[in-house]
Amino acid sequence: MTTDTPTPSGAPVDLPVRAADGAPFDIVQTYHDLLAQNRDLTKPVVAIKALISLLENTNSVTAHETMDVLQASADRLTNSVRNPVPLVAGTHLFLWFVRQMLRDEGGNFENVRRHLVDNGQVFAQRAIHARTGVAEHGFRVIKPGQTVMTHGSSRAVLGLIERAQQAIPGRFKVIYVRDHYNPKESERVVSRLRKLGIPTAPIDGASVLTAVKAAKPGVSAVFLGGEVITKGGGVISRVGAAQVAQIAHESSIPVFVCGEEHKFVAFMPWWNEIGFDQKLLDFGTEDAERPATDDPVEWVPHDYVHQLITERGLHLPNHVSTTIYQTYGSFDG
Amino acid sequence: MAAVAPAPGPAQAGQGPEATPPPEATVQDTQDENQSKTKDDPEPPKPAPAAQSAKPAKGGQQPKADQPAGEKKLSGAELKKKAKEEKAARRAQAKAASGVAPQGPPGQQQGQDKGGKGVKPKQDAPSGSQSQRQAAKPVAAPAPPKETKPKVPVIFSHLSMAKRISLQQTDKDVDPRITLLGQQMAAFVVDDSTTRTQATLLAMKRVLAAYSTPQGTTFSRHFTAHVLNPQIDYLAACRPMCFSMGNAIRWLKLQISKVDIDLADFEAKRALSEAIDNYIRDKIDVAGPVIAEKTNALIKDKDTILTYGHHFLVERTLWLAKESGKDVNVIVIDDPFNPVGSEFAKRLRAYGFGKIKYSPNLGLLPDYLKLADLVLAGAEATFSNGAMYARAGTADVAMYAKNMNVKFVSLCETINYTERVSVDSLTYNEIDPEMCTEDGVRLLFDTVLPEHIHRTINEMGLSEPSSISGMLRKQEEQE
Amino acid sequence: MPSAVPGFAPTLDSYLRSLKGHAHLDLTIQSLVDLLKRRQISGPEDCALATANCLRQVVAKSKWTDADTLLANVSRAGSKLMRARPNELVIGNIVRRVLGLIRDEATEDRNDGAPSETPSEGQMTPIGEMSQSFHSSAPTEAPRRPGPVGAASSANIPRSLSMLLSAKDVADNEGTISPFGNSGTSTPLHRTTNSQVHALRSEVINGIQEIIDEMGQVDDQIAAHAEVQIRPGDHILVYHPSPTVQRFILRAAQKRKFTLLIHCMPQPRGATGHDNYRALRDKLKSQGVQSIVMTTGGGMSYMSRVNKMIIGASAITANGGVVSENFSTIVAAAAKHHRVPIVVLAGVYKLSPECPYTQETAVEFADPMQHVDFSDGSLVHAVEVKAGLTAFLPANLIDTYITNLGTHTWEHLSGLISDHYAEEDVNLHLKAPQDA
Repeated sequence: MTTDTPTPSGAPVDLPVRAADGAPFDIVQTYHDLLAQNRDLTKPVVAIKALISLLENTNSVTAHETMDVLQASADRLTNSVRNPVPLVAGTHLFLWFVRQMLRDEGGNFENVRRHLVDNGQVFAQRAIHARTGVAEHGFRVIKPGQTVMTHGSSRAVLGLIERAQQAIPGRFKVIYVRDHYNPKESERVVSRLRKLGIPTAPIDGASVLTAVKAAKPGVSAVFLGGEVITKGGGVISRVGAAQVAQIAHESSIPVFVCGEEHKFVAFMPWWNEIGFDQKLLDFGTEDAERPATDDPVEWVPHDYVHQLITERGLHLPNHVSTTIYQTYGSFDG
Repeated sequence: MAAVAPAPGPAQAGQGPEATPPPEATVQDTQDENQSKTKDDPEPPKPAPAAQSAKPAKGGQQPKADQPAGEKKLSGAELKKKAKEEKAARRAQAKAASGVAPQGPPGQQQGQDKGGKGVKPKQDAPSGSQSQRQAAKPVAAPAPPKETKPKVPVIFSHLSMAKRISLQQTDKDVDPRITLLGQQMAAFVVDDSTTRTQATLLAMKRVLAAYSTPQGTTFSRHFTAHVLNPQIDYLAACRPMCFSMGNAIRWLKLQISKVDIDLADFEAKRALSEAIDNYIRDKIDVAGPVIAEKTNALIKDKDTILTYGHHFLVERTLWLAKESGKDVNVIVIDDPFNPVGSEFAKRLRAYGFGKIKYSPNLGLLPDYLKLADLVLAGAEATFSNGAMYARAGTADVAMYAKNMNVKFVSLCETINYTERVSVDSLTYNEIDPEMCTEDGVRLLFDTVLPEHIHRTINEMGLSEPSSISGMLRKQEEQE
Repeated sequence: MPSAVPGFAPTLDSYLRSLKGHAHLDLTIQSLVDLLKRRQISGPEDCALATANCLRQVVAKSKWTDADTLLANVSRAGSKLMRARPNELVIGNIVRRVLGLIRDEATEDRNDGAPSETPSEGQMTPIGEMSQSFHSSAPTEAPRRPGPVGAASSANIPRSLSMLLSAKDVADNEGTISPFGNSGTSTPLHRTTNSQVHALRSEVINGIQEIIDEMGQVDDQIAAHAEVQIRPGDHILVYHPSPTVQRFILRAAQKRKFTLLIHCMPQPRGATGHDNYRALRDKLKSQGVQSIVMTTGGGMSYMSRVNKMIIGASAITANGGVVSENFSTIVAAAAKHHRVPIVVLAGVYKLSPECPYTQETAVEFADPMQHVDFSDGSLVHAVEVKAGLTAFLPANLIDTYITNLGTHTWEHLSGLISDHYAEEDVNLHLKAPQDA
């Protein structure tokens, strides 16, 4: 599967899968349910959980058949959402892993299935631990007396900042760039940081340039998270992140993209080509009610990124491609 | 003097009159000269390369070459005659001067007259140093050198450097006051551009006072050609003229040329003398305090000011800030090869500045800039593109300041402005004669790019560097 | 940076000589710790050499019967040395090299009999090639060593991706989440027999000798690139050239006519920099290469005439930054402004997996607050007093890194690091003292 075009084509397939109560297994519904129930997990991991759930409910016998079902379900799932990229990160990794493990187990699908189904909790735990790993590797970037800046509500980023606060309580400041599309969430984040005792200054996206130039002694680092970390080391994040990164880059402030490695995708976006259609420019000569975009995202180019912080440490941006290549044997995943 | 309060505190060390004592201190009547020397500088200036405390810190540039309106009054024939005289003088000097063998990788000064300074051949303010260098080329069989020509690496061979003309070699036409001044300049006792220009004008005043027009000529014709020019030649030979000296002399010649031909000598001299006084007053005595005031307005209480080396305009400004009740911190970064900042910092301390930091070189510049709110630097000159000619190292400070979002402010009187343009530090520069061998050089200046300068302040006010050319045009129209 | 002052003060030489004796191991380690702390051994080359020799003693003399214990011994001793001089990154590099060496040898011994599928890695690892194995790459100085296990096995997949779902380590939560666990036993190294211990010991000691040899050859190998980097007529700028840089320049001078500008700071007591490099300059002169000593306040004044700047390094950090001499940043910044390429020369043993961001203590910037102050009106030239102050050049200033393995750019660094250091050793400097 070439992941440079992560939106797979194909109509939903009729699946020979039934849930325990006999109703047809609905991968999409399962995914959304799991997402709602597991606020702590990232989308790629929830997608994996959904597929594991499918495995639990499948009664196909042969490995071949099961792989087909899995692939079809994955496609169905990713087709069903507007922004499939984070889901693809998960489903792609999962499918690849299943194939690998099948080979290792000599084709014994039952072993594979049992392993995956039995250890669902463990996987979830590991995913969460990976987030902690990001914080552990990255908190030292923040040194006493510094001012750092962040945007969005990435749990990996916030975990890092909180870990830093544990290490050097009250000795650094945060400039938080509010998200225009998620004002309540921004409020919550600011509130949480402040409760921890971190001096936090919220600003609007429009004020970033001035804030960066005016801050004394200057902003030392910018931390960004995102749904997926793309080939090259960029990230797809909330709208507003790219500007923050660019401004930081121009002022020689290092930008750190923080995230678990299961967010890596072998996909290189290009500005508004981010894997799905997000209407950006809507020229019109008549006033008309246009629906606001739901949770808009954008690509932060790797040119602006100084280093990645993952559960395995700090890396240069080319680490994504390196890891993909070493894992999958090709740059395309 | 301006309304600003008098001298900042106790004695100034070293570099001539920084902020207050009457500028005349450098050049006085012959009887007082010895006194004035010691007042300004602990060591009596020697004709030979000077002592360390008067380390050459800044320098000037080659003489001004231009033809303002006034010059046209000298006829073509006059000019030709002058040129011939100069050439003869040069040849004579060439024979006496060291023969420079043009071979050898360390590279002699391949003094080409087209040197990067854009000296126009018709110039009438000759550059003694250049003529000396020109002598290097045509001489085929060099006589044993009386004066050793310093060797300069080729890539810097186009740059000017102070010559050390010994007293014996001085032309007999040179007034003793000028001789003294020339020696002081060559020894870098009288060092920065403003002081040099002021001293030059005052010395010219004396020369003027001692002058009487011979029978059969007119004042305006004779004085310039036969008295003024040799003095200028000599000064330029001692050390290349700075831009403001060129400006001042050009102005002076213009005034001379305007003198009514029928006016009696004493009248003419008095008028000129007065004109010189006014010029000094307006362009130097008043300008300094005005600049200090305008700069002081930029300084807020509790600001941290960073400065490089020493310049009297900066010193004056800081003193004024303190007097006006502001509590400011000062960081002095020094040039390790001419640590004038050291004395400056001590003086600041003596003035009562509580919080001063001193660093002997630029090594920790970024760390200090983190603490700074403002960088102040005094200029040796300002180019018409807004670039600033200043002590070597200033360009580094300005570049860093810009990158770290700290405002860099340049202080410079308009007398030190020139219509020349510079975009790098090797177009116009000067080599330290004390530290120049075939092995190595020290450059005295660099050029701060306009993009690194937040504001430039002169007695006309504050502006951004890009407006300088407009101001100069206006000034030229008025002349 | 210069070595310790000769004379009665103990130096690297006397320390190395002392190793020939029969001193107790703890004393050996402690005396090096002291020498490092007192800066009687200083400069990256000397520190590296001393560290390698000390660790060799540890391998030879400490008690151990399996690889794990040996790793722990070396780790403990190494951490002591690192803490004695936390800003001399090269010490940690050598420790990690030795640890990696031990892991490799032990793994190899374990796998003995299984034919290797990949070709051995030669002396010159192709630059930029992704290494197949993540955590047990062979150090490149051993041509005889068989290469790492092939990529087919899932044990070699980057642990993060497969780790999530893999069967093997279901009960095992180490590695990714606790970066500073014990010395990384993801490939448990079992108890070995006496003869195996003996074999391992001699192999590791040989390996350490190879590292020492590698360090000795570095300057020569780096100089081999000189004539590519320096072209006829170039004006090359150096700042306080180290022996490595001098060697490089001299090699170029054999083939090229160029001009060398040496930027110097004034020496104490007013001496100029002219005499410092007299030997270098005379040699250059005899080759027809002119050198000019620039004794000017900043770098901007003459930089418009420079084609290239060449500097040495005490260390290169994982994100491409360079630890170098104080003031070199100023000159480098002026170079960058004029778009003058900056080339860094350093043996690959100076490349550190550490980032300045993960250092507990900043590279010796020293807070300016503690530097200078005026007390009672007198000037304190504190900066002058503090010799050997270093500076950190960020990666965006550097164009090219030249090591004994070739010419690299920033993109290559992560590959080089993973070639030379095991992942579990990367965070050695963060280990809690009680673990060491």
